[in-house]
Amino acid sequence: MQRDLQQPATERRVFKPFFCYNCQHTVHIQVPETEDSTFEPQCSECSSSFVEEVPISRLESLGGDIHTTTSNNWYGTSGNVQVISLSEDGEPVRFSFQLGGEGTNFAGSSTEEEQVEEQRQENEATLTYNRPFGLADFLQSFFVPRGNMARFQAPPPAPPLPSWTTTQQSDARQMGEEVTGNHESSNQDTFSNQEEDQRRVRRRRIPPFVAAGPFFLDGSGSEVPVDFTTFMQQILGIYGNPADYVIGEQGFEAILSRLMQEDSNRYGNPPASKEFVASLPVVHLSAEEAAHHSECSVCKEAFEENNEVVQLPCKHVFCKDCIYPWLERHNTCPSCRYELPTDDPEYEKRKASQSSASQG
Amino acid sequence: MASVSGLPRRIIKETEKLLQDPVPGISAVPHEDNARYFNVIIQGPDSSPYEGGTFKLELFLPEDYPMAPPKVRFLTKIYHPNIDRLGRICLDILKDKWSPALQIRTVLLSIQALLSAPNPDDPLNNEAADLWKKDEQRAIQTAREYVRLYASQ
Repeated sequence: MQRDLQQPATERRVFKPFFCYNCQHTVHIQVPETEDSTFEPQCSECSSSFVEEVPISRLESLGGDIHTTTSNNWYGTSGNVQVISLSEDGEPVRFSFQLGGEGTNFAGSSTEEEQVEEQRQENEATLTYNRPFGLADFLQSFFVPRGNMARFQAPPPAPPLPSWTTTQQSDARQMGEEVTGNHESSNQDTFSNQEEDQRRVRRRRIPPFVAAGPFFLDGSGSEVPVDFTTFMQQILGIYGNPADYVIGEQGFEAILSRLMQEDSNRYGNPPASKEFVASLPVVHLSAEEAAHHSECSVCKEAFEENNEVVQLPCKHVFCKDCIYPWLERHNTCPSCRYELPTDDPEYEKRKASQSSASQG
Repeated sequence: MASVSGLPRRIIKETEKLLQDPVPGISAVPHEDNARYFNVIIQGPDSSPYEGGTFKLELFLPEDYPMAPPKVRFLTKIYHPNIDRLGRICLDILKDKWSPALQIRTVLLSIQALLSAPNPDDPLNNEAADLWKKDEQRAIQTAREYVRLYASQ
């Protein structure tokens, strides 16, 4: 519960997706519902202001062709799948592909014209794949690290690369890197070698939207049956109970937010300054002091005479072995949240501006 | 508890205390196969929309506990602005305001207090938070209905 005390409680606030350039992924930040140019959004995880709103409204404005489905519709899906994602620039990118056919490898069964739409004419780009684009390719584009996916690739022969016809290639190329997967050995590549090299280099970098979503899936259309177990095992390489896994828009988001929450070290204050911690005196408790401080609030053990303890500037005392690991993570006193100096210049700057603001 | 060996003394002490001297309205029992995993039951606090409800939660002490907070989640479905559909809890001490001076007991007390004092201004379940602000009576009714449907024994 990060409460922003400067905001009146009556003001309605909503969560909006932002891309944090510091954390390098999408975070949801609470912002005033009404436009407020004075409001400065800060990353909910690192408190950096270097964030940019992800224009999800651009996706919605594309209108009727967007379908969001539950993960159930994904299971055993077949036919036309439409995917809409955000490019690195936050522009909506749309493509669709055909699922089904070809037995167990789930490669696409037909050539599908791909479209990348942009509202502005000059950015309009149309992609044409001259090979079937398979679900495996699509999934590969989402899994990290990619090396591990090699064994789940669709069987050879590797299909040729798609040829691109674009009027402006920025977003299309971003997307292209994703969807072409590892099939760079193709001889039907329409790019020059130099471009291919650039692409190869850039492909190593994982574009933020891969880890960020949101994407939308819609299985509709023809009735090509897909064996879900085979799909799980051969394409995703996961076995056991499919209910242990989630796929699809909501599942993907849920997993991401779960993963982000799992890492508790991402939260809270920065570590205490190493130099400052080293300068804290380690003392041996006298019998009297041991009785006075009663117990270490970290290990909950009663202090005894001669215990090696560290006293923080707030006068709270802790076992040496208890307080050091904590200060390596966060700069606060476990008992009273007194904040020690840090080695984080950004944090120190914020703290200074806050204290001067509260004085003025 | 078969797996006590290697368990930090603090966890053993906390567990003993929880079993011997439980917090009123809260029970926390370690799993017999994993002393870091607790089955928790919290009774809905009196004069709250959750009164009469019995809520199951799971609590897990990660490897680096108490340097990192316990992971706690509602297993019982609950309608609350700060608890989402997956049972995750929006509570500062479980995130950035964690301190190693806190413990299982204090965490569970805080969760019990959160049931008494929903905070729609810091929502995790946006839908519930919206209703809480627009029509508190109806939100409370919905919360009660959830208790009747999912948290009654």
